[in-house]
Amino acid sequence: MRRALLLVVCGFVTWIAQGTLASLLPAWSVPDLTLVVTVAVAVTAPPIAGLFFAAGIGFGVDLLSGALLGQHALLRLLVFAAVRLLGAQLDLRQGVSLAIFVAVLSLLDVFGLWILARAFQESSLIGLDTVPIVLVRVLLAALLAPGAARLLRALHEWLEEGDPRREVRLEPRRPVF
Amino acid sequence: MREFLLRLRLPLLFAALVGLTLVSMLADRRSLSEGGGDLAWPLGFVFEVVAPVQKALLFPVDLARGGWTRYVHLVDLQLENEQLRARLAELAETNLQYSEALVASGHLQRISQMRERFAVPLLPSEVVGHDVSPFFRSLLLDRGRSQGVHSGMPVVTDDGLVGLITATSVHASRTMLLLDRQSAVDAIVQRSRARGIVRGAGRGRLEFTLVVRGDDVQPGDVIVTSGVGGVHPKGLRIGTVRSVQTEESQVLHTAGLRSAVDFGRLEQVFVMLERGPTMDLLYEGSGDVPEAPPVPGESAK
Repeated sequence: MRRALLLVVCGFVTWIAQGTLASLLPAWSVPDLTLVVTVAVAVTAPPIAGLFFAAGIGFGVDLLSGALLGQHALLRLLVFAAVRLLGAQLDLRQGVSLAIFVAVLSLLDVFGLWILARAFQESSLIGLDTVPIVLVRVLLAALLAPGAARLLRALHEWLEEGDPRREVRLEPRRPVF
Repeated sequence: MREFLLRLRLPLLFAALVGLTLVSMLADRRSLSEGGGDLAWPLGFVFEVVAPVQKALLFPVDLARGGWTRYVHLVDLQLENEQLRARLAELAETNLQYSEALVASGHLQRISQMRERFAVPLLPSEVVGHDVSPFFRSLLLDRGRSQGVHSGMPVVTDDGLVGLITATSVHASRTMLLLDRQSAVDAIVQRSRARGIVRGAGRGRLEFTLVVRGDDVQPGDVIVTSGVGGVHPKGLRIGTVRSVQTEESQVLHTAGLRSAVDFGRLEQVFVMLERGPTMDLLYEGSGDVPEAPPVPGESAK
C-alpha cells in the first residue's frame, strides 16, 4: 500500500515538476522527467504497479500537452516493457549502462512520437528544426536517469525498513516440534 | 487454468493497457475533429490538481518578473508618455476623419447595430502552465467549465488570436496555440482578401499557405481570420507577412508570418465565451448585419 502511494506521489510530483520547468525554461532545455522516472520505476518497483504507473504517467503527459490522449501512455508502456525485458541482460544497476540505455530509449521515444503523430494526427511533429531539442533531451535524460533510479531505490529501501511486516523473521533452522 | 492466467497476468495486463491507449487515441482524435470535449472527472482531476499547484509555484517567479519589468518600464516612462500623447492626438484626428467617412456612407449605424448584437463576453484567464512536451504547443488556463469555458472557444489577447480551447475540466482548460503543428486556421490577407490557411511551422513560426497559387500577398500584409468554418470569428488578427516564398518549383504558395501575439510572454488571455462577431461590415462595406454566430463545437482542426 505504501509502495503504491509512493508511486502515486511520484507521478504527481513528476507532472508538476515537468509543467513548472516547461513554464520557466525554454522548451529546448526541459528534460523529459516522465521518461526518466518511468525508467527508474521500471528498475526499482514491482512489475504490476510499475505498469499502472507507466500508463498513468503517460496519460497525465497527454492531458498536459497537446498530444492525443494515449500517445505518451503507449510510449511509456513500451519504455517500461523495454526496461523490464532488457534490464537483466544490460545490468541497469550500473549508472553508466543505465545512462546509455536511457539515451537510446529517449531517442526511440521521440521516434515513436513521430510515428504516432503521422499515423493518428496526419501531421509531422518533428522536423529538422527539432533535432537540437531532441539531442538535448537525450543528453539530459541520460544524465538524470542514474540519479532518479538511485533516489527511487533509496525511497523503496526506506519504506521496506519502516514496514512492520519486515520485522517477522522466519528461522527455518529452528526445529518445528 | 487459474495458474495459467496467473502466469500470464503481466503480459495480459500489458496488452490490455496498450489496447486502452490505442482506443483512447482513436476516441480523442474523433473528439478533436468534432471540436474537442469536456474531460470526464478522472481525467479532469489531473487538471484540477496540477493547475492550482503550478499556479502557486509560479506565483513568486511571476511576481519577480513583473516587478522587474515594471521597474524597467518606469525608466523610460516620461519619454514614452510624451510620444504616446503625440500619437494619441494623431490617431484622434484620423479617427474623426474615418468616422466622418463612415457616417457619410451609412456604415457607422450598421457597425453600431452589429456591436450591440454581437457583443462577445470575454473571460479573462491566467496562464498557469505551458505544454510539458516541446513538440506540442498548448497552455493550461485557470478557467474551466464552471466559468462557462468549453471546447471550441477561441482564446485571444488584445494583440490577436492565441488559439482554441481543446479540453476542459471544472476549473481549468487547455488551449492549443496557433503555433502547434496540428493547428490550422482559415485566414485572409486583410488588404487583398486572398484566402489561405495559417499553420504552426515549428520553432514558434507561423506559415500562411494560399489557397490559390499566385494570389496577392506581400511582406507587411496583415493576416486575419476569415471566419470560414465557423470556428473562429472573422477579423481576428493573426500576424503580419514577414517573407513570401515565390519559387516556381513550389507547389503551394506560402508566406512566413510574424505572429501578432508574443507567445513567449503570455500571462493573461481572454476566452471568447461566444463566437462572433463577424467583421463583414468593416471589410466588405455592404450588406446587412450578419446572422447570429454558430454555437461552439463545430471543428477544432
